[in-house]
Amino acid sequence: MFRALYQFYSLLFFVCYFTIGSFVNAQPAGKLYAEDFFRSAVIQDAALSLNGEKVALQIGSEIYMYSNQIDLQRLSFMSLYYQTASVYWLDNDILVLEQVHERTGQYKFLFLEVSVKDGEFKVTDESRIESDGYIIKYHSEKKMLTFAKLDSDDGELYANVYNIEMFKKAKLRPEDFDKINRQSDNIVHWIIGASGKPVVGISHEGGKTAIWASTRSRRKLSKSWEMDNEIYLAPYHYDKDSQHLLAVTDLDSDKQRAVILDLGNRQIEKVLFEKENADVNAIVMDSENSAPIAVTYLKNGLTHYEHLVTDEDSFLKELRSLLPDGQMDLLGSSQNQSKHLLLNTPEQSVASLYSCDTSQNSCEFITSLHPWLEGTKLATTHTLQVPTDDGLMLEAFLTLPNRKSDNVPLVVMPHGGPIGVRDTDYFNPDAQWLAYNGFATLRVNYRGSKGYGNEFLKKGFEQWGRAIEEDIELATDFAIEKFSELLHSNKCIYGSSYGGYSALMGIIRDSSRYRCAVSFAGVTDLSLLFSPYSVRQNAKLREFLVKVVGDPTSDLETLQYYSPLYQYQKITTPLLLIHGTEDNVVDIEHAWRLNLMLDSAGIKHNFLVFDDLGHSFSTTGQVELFYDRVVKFLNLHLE
Amino acid sequence: MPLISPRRTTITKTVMILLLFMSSLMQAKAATECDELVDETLLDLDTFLAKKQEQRHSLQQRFGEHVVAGKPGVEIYQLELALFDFEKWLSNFTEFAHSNINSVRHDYKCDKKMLKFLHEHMEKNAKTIFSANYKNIVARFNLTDLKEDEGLAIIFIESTPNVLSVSFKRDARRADPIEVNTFGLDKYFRVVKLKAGEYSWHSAKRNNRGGYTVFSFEDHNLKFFIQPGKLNFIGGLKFDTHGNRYAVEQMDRVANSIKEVIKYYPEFSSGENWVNTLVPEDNFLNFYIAQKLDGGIK
Repeated sequence: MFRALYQFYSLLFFVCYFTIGSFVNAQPAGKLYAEDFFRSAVIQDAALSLNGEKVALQIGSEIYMYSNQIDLQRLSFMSLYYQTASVYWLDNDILVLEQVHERTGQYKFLFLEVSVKDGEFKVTDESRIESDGYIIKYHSEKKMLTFAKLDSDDGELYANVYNIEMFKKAKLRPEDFDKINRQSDNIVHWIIGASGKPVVGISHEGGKTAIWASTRSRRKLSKSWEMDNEIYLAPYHYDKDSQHLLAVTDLDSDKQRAVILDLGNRQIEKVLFEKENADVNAIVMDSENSAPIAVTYLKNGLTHYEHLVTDEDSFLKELRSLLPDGQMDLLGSSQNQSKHLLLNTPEQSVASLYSCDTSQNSCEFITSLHPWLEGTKLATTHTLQVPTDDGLMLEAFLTLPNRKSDNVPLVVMPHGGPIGVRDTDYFNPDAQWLAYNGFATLRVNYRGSKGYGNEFLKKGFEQWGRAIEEDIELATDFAIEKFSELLHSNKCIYGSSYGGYSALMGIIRDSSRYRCAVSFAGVTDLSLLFSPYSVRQNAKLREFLVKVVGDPTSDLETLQYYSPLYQYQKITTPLLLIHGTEDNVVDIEHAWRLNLMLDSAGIKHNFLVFDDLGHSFSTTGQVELFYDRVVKFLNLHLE
Repeated sequence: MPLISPRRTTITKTVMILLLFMSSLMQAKAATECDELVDETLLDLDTFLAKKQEQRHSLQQRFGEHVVAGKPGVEIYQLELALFDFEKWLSNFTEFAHSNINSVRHDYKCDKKMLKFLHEHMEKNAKTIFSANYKNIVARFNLTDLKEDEGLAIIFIESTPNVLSVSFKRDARRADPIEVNTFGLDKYFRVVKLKAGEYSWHSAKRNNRGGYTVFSFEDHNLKFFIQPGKLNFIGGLKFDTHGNRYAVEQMDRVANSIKEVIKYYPEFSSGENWVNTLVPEDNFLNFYIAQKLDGGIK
């Protein structure tokens, strides 16, 4: 009797336990914290071996492996001081980890030969190169690497090409490198031919870009084509017979296009693809026959694949049919293009990693990148196209909180940079966290942002505090007009770096426009950017700053006029000024100067100094602390 | 029949009560002994601190005008140590030491070894600060007191907390480096009087398991300049160590230098004779002074 009762209650307990347990697990997380949005994705990188059999995953600071036959297994070869920037395979067995030293910025390439023994992955050999550069080619049969080692001379970047016996030593030093290029001439990009010799080089010197190439009759590289100015040119494939170079370039165009260059006649042979309002980012190549399959560009802030071959021939179309919903981003494919690793991001969800086999018409779910946000309905982002008076088209991203209201407080969030940086529609922890707290956010790709062509980029030069701010204000007004839940009277501005500067200029330009401003790591004194101790004696950096900010020697007055520091008296809107003591990009002196002036003038403001914080956050603890203050401040000033 | 008789229960209870009573008596005695011991220790420590403080005052009177710090042959007249508020430190330290020693009563069950350790540790810490501080009991200087070839320099050092001192050297002379004792503070500020001319930051000394390690940065060419008759804003020096590696750089530190000058050296706060010798083209110092003269700021 007792035993029967015991069994009954035990059974009841387990049934309840598992029922409740699975119910709880199936529910979206209860209350979410900033950490949930800002902590790193479960997988930082993933790579598929060329035969598609092995998958390497970068999980935190470690590398994991799995295949059809072997379950997930850890390979622990990560140094504490190095962060892995990229993971990829050279063939079926050689895995490369590109790493960067956290403090010194030194590059390291770690090569692991991964074999399968006794049903486990084993690292059977390893070596490393401690140098900045890139791998041009891997010669599988000889286990030899063709490596371009990057160096600089007087600030000019160049690369020499070396053949390196990959596992000759554990640490491969320059004396183990066998140089194969004859000239350097500031060549940065190299292409190696079938013979293993360099066939194309791209140099950028003295403000001019040049293409160096060999021909069938002339093996030595010579300068085939020198442009009148410096252009963007990313080479993909060179056909020595026809002297045709496949490349993404902005030659003779405002936008980056996918083209075939005829080096013999120094002309564009064919434009493979161009887009009116977007730069082409890359060409997807067929690795078996070195033919272009598709190009990528950003459409509505997300990577878009445009086919260069007929749809029917493309594995991309097959993949699309296997995962029809949401955004698809290809991470890698096997050489025969039947197996693929990709990210799929359904609407209002976080991205998940999939392994797909187009020959089997199947996709296997590997993991969500943010499993703790699985089941959480993310805020929706709307893409806005905003025309300007001078004929530009601005792209902006408005993220609205899920909670409906007829008065949603708006936070305008200009991005940093300002030149050559952009916002996208990919998962943005700041926008999502603020949306979770009830705020709408508007991120504007103002003039100067990347991806919209050269003209658009250059229009941002010397427009700090001027046309850039007008773009932000225009897009803000546009969004408020279009979305009835937003009100002109209920908005603040918050940004970091240039965005922090923009927040300050926003309230200086018009004290009634915003209810409050949050400036994190913001520039306050434009002339201070040129201090020898800010640019660290880097002549190239100074030259770039003169181009994008203005010249402090000839136009100090203008720089001061557009510096929040010298306009401090106009700051009357509630301000939260935040800076980290370890900021190496915008020195904390910027914040200290403005704080000193505001304090001395008796202008009320909030000033927070974060010890050990750099130009951005390195721990979720810092983010929690930061957003705790920012959200409280926004709540105080917005309805 | 009950297993335990009522009579037997009464005896047991009585014995128990007696035992409890004796135990509490013993505990009370032990507690009193412990209190006495801790009180004696606190008294010893306070006596030690008072004696040290007395010595410090007597030195202060003895070196009324100035004190030469650094090495013989080097003229460096230091002004009153500003950022390091000695009296405040002593008060905080006394409170901290008392709290630590008092914790032995409860947290460490009156462990005599722990009490001895804490006592010695606190005295050792106090000795270090006192001996470092003796060198800095000096009088203030005014710009008018400067000789023709002298100027004042604002020294601003940010370093890892275990850095004991940072030194600099006058380039024109074969002199020994001039050492600035930073007391292991992560931020250090003071105004010193120096001969006009060109100087370069020389080295830093870091605590290293009872001894110290010297990091030389002579090769970094970290120069600063002193103009005669001026309060020279020479920028900050940022020095960080990571194991045996280090990073050193000069930084623009005008804002904090102004703030500290106003706070600790009000006699210089008018802005008169201020000069940024690190980045002469930096207009902020002039802007600040102009705003001050205009009445835009206090």
